[in-house]
Amino acid sequence: MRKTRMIILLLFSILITITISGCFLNKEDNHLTVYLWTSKLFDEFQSFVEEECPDIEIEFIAGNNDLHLYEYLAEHGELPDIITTRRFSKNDAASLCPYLLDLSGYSIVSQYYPYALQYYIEDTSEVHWLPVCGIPETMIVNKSLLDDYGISVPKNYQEFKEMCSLLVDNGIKPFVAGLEDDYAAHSFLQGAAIGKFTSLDGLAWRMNAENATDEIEFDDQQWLEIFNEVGNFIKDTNITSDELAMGNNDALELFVARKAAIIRGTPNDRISYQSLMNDELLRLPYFSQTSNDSFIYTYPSLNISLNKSLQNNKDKLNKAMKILNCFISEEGQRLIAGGDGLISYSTNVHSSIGKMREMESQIETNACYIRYASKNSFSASLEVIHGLVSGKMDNEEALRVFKSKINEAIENDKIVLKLDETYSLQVDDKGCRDAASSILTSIRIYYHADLAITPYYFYTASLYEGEYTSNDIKILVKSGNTNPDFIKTRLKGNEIKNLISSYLNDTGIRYNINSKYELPVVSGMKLVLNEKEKGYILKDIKINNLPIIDDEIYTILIPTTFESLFATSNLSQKEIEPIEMPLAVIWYKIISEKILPNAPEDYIEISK
Amino acid sequence: MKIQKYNKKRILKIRYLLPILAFICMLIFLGVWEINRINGYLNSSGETNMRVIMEQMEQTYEIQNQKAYDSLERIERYLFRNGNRSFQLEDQEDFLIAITDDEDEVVIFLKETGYVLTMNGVGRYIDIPTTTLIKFQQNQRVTQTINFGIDSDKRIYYMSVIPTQPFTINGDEFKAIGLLSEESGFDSLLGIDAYNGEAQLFSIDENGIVVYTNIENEEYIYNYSLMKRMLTNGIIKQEQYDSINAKIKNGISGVELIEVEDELYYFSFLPLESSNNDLICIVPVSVQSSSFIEYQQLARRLVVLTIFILSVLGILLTNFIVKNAKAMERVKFEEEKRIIQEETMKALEVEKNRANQANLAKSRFLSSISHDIRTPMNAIIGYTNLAKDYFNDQNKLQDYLEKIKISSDHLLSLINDVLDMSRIESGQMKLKEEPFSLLQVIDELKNIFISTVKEKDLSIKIELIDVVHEYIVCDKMRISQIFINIVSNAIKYTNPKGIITIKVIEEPSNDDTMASFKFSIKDTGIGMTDEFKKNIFEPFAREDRLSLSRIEGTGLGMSITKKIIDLMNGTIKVNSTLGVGSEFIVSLRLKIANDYKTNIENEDNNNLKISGKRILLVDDLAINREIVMTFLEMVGAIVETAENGEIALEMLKMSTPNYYDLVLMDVMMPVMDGYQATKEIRKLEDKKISNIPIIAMTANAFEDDRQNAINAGMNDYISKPIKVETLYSVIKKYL
Repeated sequence: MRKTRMIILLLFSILITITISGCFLNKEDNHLTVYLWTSKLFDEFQSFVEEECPDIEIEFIAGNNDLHLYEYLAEHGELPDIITTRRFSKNDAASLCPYLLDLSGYSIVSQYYPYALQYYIEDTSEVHWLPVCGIPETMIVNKSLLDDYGISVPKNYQEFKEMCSLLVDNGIKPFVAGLEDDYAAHSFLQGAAIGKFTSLDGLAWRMNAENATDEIEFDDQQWLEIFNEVGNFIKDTNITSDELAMGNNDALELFVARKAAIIRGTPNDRISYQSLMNDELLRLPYFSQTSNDSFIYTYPSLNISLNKSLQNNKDKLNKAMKILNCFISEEGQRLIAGGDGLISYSTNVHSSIGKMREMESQIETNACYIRYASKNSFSASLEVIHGLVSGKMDNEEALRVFKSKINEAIENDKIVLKLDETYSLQVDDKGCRDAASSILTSIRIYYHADLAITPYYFYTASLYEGEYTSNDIKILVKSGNTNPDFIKTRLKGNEIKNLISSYLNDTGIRYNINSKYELPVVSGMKLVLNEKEKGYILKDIKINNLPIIDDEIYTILIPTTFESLFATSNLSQKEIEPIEMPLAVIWYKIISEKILPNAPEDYIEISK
Repeated sequence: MKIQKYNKKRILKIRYLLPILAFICMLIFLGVWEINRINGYLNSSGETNMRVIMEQMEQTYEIQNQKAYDSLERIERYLFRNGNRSFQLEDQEDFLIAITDDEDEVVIFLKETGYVLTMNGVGRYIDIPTTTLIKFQQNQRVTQTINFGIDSDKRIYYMSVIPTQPFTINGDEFKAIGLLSEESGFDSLLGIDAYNGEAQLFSIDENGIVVYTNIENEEYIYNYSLMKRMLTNGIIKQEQYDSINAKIKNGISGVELIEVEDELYYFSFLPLESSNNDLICIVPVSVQSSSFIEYQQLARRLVVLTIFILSVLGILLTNFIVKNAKAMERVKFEEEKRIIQEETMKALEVEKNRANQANLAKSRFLSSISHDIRTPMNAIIGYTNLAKDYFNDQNKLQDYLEKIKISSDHLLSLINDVLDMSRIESGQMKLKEEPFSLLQVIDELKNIFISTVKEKDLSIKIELIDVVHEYIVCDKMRISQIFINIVSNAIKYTNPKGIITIKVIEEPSNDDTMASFKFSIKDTGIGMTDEFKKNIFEPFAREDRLSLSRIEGTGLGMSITKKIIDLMNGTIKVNSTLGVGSEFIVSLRLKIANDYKTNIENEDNNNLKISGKRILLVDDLAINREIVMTFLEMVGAIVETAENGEIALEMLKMSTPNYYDLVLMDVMMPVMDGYQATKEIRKLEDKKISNIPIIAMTANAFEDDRQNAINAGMNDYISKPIKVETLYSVIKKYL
């Protein structure tokens, strides 16, 4: 009996030991990483998701609108749990399929209209991506201007053509396209020939293009007709070569000045344009040139996918699905769309007309077109539109160039950087991101600044040991022309403390700093923080392990968005040296000069 | 015989438990096998039944679809009966209303882009993928479920579409005509109420997407991959998924079993002839095979009940057997006990008889011994008195002394025999192991009996046959005793002119260290009766006729001889014929003495050793002192005497070293006995005195007494009455 008791006690002790050691040694990280294609979603959408999912620890990163980033991360085994992108075609994303979860067996796909999801279904019936929140991009017409000239709002292409003619006669530019940017040319091409793209042949071509495993094939006759319609549109809307150097802002200037009657735009654009003028603005669909049909040109605000590895962790998968449902929920889509007007691809959410009452008919009859957007289609569109507008290309040449550009393979980029170390972007146990610290420190030293600070989401990927091409370098930090430039300024120690305290306490910055994932990245200093229930309080700043000296002046690099903190931090305008380059450009500049990234710093110290 | 303990556990031991457990296990195994067999049969029947139902359902489905297509063809024919493929919708309103069965059917016209115009003038793009639109282009007919809003309310319709030659309505070109039917109506047409409404029906396209289902859930009409869902939800495993998918893709029909939340379902699939779609029906097994299920459950219950009953019977039987076995064991135990008791009683009776016999024998012995003792004692006393009376008559004195000696020898012999018997009976006789010459012993026999043989005019012959090993290790005295006893009997019971033959035969031995001897002592004496032969080795066994003839003897000799031979692990046999003679054959295996020959050569030199030696003789009895002194002085020893141990001790203390050569010490003495005196002598300071050889003289005849003497510090001992040869031989060892 005594012996039995001893054995039972021994077994129990072993069990407890294993359990405890399992608790301490194998504590699984169940936090989810969500890569958003733009930092704009940090505004309200991030808060919405966090409120809807309070029991889920989420790290939001702003990725780039580039599948190459995800390929890079997947190759290094660091593909995030949830990834999003705006520019997307199934063909372009084929290389990522092995890393992505097949959603076809989940109920979420049954929340999609077949016409919307059809471009996301693989040959194997697998579904790896889902479109979220169709953004209707239409022509925005100044109705008041039309009224001034007694011109009716057109209901078909013939009437549109007549309208344009009348406007030209009155010295008004019918349509200002702002064709400097590729996305403008892209929507111009497909909008102009929307009747062709929505025909059965056009839809079939689209289907084949999405499913192509090799080169995308073109029906020459079909595409000559497309370019013919584009040519008609260019002619009918009186687009001229001066628009080829005109960006959206320039186009807007003309539109607001009533020198142009129509501009391209989204519902939010319409609102913002409306705020600049008292004229009544209406939205116009794109008209088929061969029928009375008209269509709303749409594109998914983002396309979303889940990491395949989630299926190995049921708890994480359920959490990821919950976040995914936030994206396609009514409120989620509204926030993603930015407020007013969205075309829902999902059955559970009604398309939001908002102030798009003039589009009611198209919405009711589901006359929506989802643009084709491969990674090459934007540059291909830009080239052919410029060629057609400038007259340097005829239809045949345009077709040839378009086909060539669409199927253009990525050039073998030269190696611009060789790293001997690996620095992770993941938050370590101190709260630091080594990759971010390395990049920021490199930039700080390059600009001879004592200190530097950026939001955490400026950095998109870890730095891995190995060789990097110029394309690889670009994806490591957030790029895009919406990113702020940097400035270099001089501040006192106590001013820096106030600045950072304000930053931590969410005074005007886009997102809340609730967890270690949202802590800023600094260089040249260490932030000593006290953790509170939600967020952090700045306790001190150390420089070279010594407390920052309140009265001493330090040079500091900060993004221009931080300037809004100056007011809240009681900082007056200091001598500012504008760098006028966003992080991505600076980073690329440094690498181009063969400067190796610096070692990361321990820049965070957290105490409870 | 030992009684085996009556142990309850033994009764319930494994020999009963194992078979019943094995029996129950066998029953369970058979039961499970039978249930599985029934299940297999039911499943097989169910599957067959399912296939038949599916085929009927497929035919019904195809018929209903064909009905729709026929209806659409009629509409097409009517609309374009004049060859004019253009019309105004409002012009055809009455026809279209009439052709549709009721308000649940709507005629639609489709553009190739998927734009639908209903007969009511509602137009919208239908939510179907491009692949379906391409089917129209490929002249394929399509049927599927869609969510369509005729008005503001969207409803689920079952759509049938046939592609047509292009036609225009209100100036717009269309390329297909279709029919929208209320889905619930279509469901009832399929007649699947036979399954109590529990059958789930699906039609899936070539991509596995559901295009029709009878389940009222919008989810199913949007991108619902039936097989993928089942795989993701764990209803089927990857292997089954791959298998069914492969069959569907290859146009094979089948029935499989799937499990959903612990309930089994039939999953049957069948390709539709009219399209690339497949019909799938999922129905609970319990519904499909309800009557069979009842039978199965009944069979299962019966099997379980049978197992239970048989198990109970088995347990009861076991219990009965166990109880019976218990009873039998008890009976057996009682019987054993009774037998043991009987045997014990018998043994006790035997022992009692033996004890009585022994008692009787003892009484006879005592009676005999007292007589036998009294006889020589009388002779000794009588002749002693006569010797006193005729002290001056040398001849008579000599004669009387001789007779006294004979009687005293006989008495001593009797006493020795009695003591030997006692020692043997009490297990205290220990055999000495000493090397000696067997032939010398045989030779000494001649010397011992030569005078008697001459007196009786007998002749003794000694024959040695194959004797190789003369020197053996054994108890010489006891060997001699054996031969003396047998030979003396032979002499006693052989009449004058008789012959006594002593043969010593050495037989082959397979042991190099042992020699096998057979000693034969044969006489031509009076022989023995057969009856006496049986008892010859019993104590005091004497034939009555011998008693009458008053032939002397203690009656213990043969008994002692037998016991000595038994101690030596030998055997003795007697052959005798009355009036002819007797032969005693003794067989002994004796250890060979290899080194003895050398040693005996030294012994002869010792005979001269006693002469001139001074011996201190210690004995409290004067007669004993006188006898021993005489023996010693006869061989030239110088003897001084002491009456007790204390005097002897003083004499030694007073002596010079080596004054005395040896001490003969009596044991039982007053003042200080021999053991105490020896201990004191050994404590003396002068080693030459304290180490003097001391030999005990003791009337105590047992082996322990020798050991006591040794323990006291004595070197050896001689038994009283002292034999002069023994005295000489012992003394010689220490001088």
